[in-house]
Amino acid sequence: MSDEERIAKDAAYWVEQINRPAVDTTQSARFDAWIGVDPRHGDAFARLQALWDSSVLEAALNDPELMVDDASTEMQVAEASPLAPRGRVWLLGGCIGIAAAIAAAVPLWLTTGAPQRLSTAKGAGASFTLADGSRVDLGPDTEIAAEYGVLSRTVTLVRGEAYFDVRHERWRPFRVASGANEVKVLGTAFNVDRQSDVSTVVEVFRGRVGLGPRNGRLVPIDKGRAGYMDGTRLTMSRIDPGQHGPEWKTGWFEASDVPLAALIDKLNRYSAKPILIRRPDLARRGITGRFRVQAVQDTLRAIEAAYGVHMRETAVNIVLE
Amino acid sequence: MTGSLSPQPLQQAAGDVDWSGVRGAVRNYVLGRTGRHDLADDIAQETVASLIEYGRTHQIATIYGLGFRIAGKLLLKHHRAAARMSEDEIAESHASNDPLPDHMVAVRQDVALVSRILRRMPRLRREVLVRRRIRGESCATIAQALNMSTKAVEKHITRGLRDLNDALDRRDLHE
Repeated sequence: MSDEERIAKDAAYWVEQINRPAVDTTQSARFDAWIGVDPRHGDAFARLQALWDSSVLEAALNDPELMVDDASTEMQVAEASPLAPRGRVWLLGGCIGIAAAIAAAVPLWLTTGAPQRLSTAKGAGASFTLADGSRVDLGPDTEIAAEYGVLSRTVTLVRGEAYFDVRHERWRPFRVASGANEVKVLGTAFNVDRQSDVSTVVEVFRGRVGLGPRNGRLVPIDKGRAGYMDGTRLTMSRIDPGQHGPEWKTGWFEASDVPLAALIDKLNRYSAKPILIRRPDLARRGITGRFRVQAVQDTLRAIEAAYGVHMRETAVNIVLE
Repeated sequence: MTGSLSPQPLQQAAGDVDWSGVRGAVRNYVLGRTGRHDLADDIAQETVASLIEYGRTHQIATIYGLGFRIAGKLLLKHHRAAARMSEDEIAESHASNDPLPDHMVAVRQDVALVSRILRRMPRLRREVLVRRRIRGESCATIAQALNMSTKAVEKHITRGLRDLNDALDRRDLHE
């Protein structure tokens, strides 16, 4: 293999490594060492990274025709065949060589990159400080997974509701993935409520965040505003100017024509017995009011009285009919 | 001399950094994306200044890695200002989809060429590239979904990148 071929191969390896969501510090240092050895390394990497980042590649990969095979494939394969076996051998040999060199030098605990998981039980929230100094207050029955890379900070809201006070870092955005939705910030304070796999409510108390579908276009939401993503539809509203933090911290839930299912979801974060809604039309019924969700029984009785819903408690659950 | 992967200390003092090397590499990156020398010089300069400033208060794990990332953001900012788009810093995922305006014709030809090269690749490799580059899936996720090893996923990505690069090189030679 010529020097040029080897450099191109190493550069492609590094583009793959450096563009991962999380890159550990040892691998990062190794990358800087490799690039510093020979000016041609930086040039080759720059070229491949530019190709990887390019709108051209993005457009081509987004082309719906992409999975239709090129009619000239067979001809191309035939032309290339004398070289193919050799190409395959060096690719394999080279990759194993690099992998072996890294495996020998990297301590195992650094290579796992396992996300930090935090969770709370029903009925009680808890506060945590994340690796970058950002603070997160988890609501009851909430779980998050935080993953920190050299160039990114990603938190997945597995279920429930969380308030984030994010430490500002200009070059390392902070993302919260909530089912099919995503929130992105640099440094701010906001609350994320994962109501279902496709719907998320975000309230912003300081700064500004972007909200939208994962890997899609994000719409800015400024301080004092809330965004409700349901599928691909975004509805904006104002939050009460007197409100300086999320409602769940006080144990209240303010609803303005939200589906009954959303309120029951909140109650389920406090209720010892799961609350079920038997009929889909009931689950969709819009409700309005301010509910003290910590007091599960009181809230259920209020719903019963105001919306003509019948509540039936069994040994294992509470059913609304 | 290539492929040296000898162990290096994790922390580098700012004084040890080869800033001209960083500037040169970032310059080539911008040149690769825009074809504009003036812009490449400006962004390389600003990137190095940002890195030095950032390094005063933060520990930087990869100076080059962060340098390329900063350059990408600065390029986007320039692109947005040039196109007089919204000043919204957040909607970058959308803005970055738009080709740089001074490159429109070349871009259209490139997309056709890149599409052709992609469609000559094995179907599985195309699938891996879409999942990684467009959907942002991790190697582990892709490996699981496509029932292959993570090493195989890495190989599809590196091989795909090299095939694309080689084809674009050949095009440049014939121009």
